[in-house]
Amino acid sequence: MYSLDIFLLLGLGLFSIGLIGVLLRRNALFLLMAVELMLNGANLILVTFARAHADSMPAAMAGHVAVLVIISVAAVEAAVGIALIVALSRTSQGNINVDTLGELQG
Amino acid sequence: MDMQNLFATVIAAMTLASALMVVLSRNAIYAAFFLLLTLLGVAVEYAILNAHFLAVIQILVYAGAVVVLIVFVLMMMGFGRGGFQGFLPAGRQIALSVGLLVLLLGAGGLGGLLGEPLRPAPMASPSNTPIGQPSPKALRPALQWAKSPVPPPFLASAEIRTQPTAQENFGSVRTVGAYFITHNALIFELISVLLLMAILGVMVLLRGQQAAPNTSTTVVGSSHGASSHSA
Repeated sequence: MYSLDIFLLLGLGLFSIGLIGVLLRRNALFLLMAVELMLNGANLILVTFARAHADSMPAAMAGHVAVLVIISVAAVEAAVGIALIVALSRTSQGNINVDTLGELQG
Repeated sequence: MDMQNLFATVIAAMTLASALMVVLSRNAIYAAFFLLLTLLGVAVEYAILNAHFLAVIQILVYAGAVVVLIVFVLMMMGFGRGGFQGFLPAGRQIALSVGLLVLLLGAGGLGGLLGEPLRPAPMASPSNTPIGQPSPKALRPALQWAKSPVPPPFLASAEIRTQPTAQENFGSVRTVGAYFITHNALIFELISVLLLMAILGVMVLLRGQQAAPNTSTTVVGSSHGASSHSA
C-alpha cells in the first residue's frame, strides 16, 4: 500500500510552474505550452482523488470523466490558439510578443 | 518505500524537471520537446494510478496531436529562431512571487493531508456495483431513454464473458465509457459539438488570408480558402 501524496505534490508543482510560465514568458506559444502544464497539474490531482476513492466504484469514475472532458477542451484550446497565433503573426510580421500586441487590427 | 512508490517518485522528479525546462528554455523547439517529456511523465503517473484509459488518451491526444501541432507551427512559421522574446520587463519578480505564493498556499493546504497520508482505497468488486445501471437519481429527466431495465447488449455480453476483477475494472475503457455514456451523456454530445466548432473556427480564422512572402502558404484551411476564392 503506497501513499498518494507524491501525485498531489507533482500536480501542485506542475500547476505552479505553469502559472510562473504564463506570467513570465511573453511569447504567445510559450504561453500556450504553460497553460497545457497547468491543465495537466489539475488533471493529475483529479485522477489521484479518483484513485483515493476507488472503493465507491461507479462514482469514482466521475473523476476520470472530468479528466476526459478537460483533455478534449485543452486540445480544442490548443488548436484554436495556434490558429489565432498564426493569423496574428501574419498581420504583425511575425511578432507574437503579447506585450507589444495591444491593438486591434494590429 | 516500496518499489511502486519509488518508481512514482522518480517519474515525478523527471516530470517536474522537464516542466521547469519548458518554462525556462530559450529555444521554443526545446520547450516543445520538454513539454512532450512532461506529458509522457504524466501519462506514466496515470498508469501508476490505475487510470489506464486516461494514460492512453493522454499519449494519443497530447503527444499525437497537441505537441505535433506546436512543433509543426514552430517549424513552419519560424518562431523558434528569435525564440527568446524576452521575459516580462521588470516584472520577473512579480511573476516569480505570485507563482511561489500559489506553491506555498497549495503546500500549506497539502500539509493537512501530509500529516495523514492520502491512501488509495481498496478497489470495489464489480459484482457489488453493476456499471451499466446507474442510480435513478443520477439520470437527468431529459435522458430517460438511457434508463432501461435491461442493460445494453454489449455490456451484458461483456459481463457474462469475462467478469473482470476489480483491479482490471477500475479505470478501464469499458468502465469509464459506460459511466460517461450513462451519467454524462449530454456532456459527451456537447464535446462533439465543441470539436466541430473548433474545426470550423480554425478554418474560418485562416481562410483566404494572403500569406506573407517569407512564410509558407500550406496552412491548414488556407488552401481550401484559396481554392474557393479562385472558384
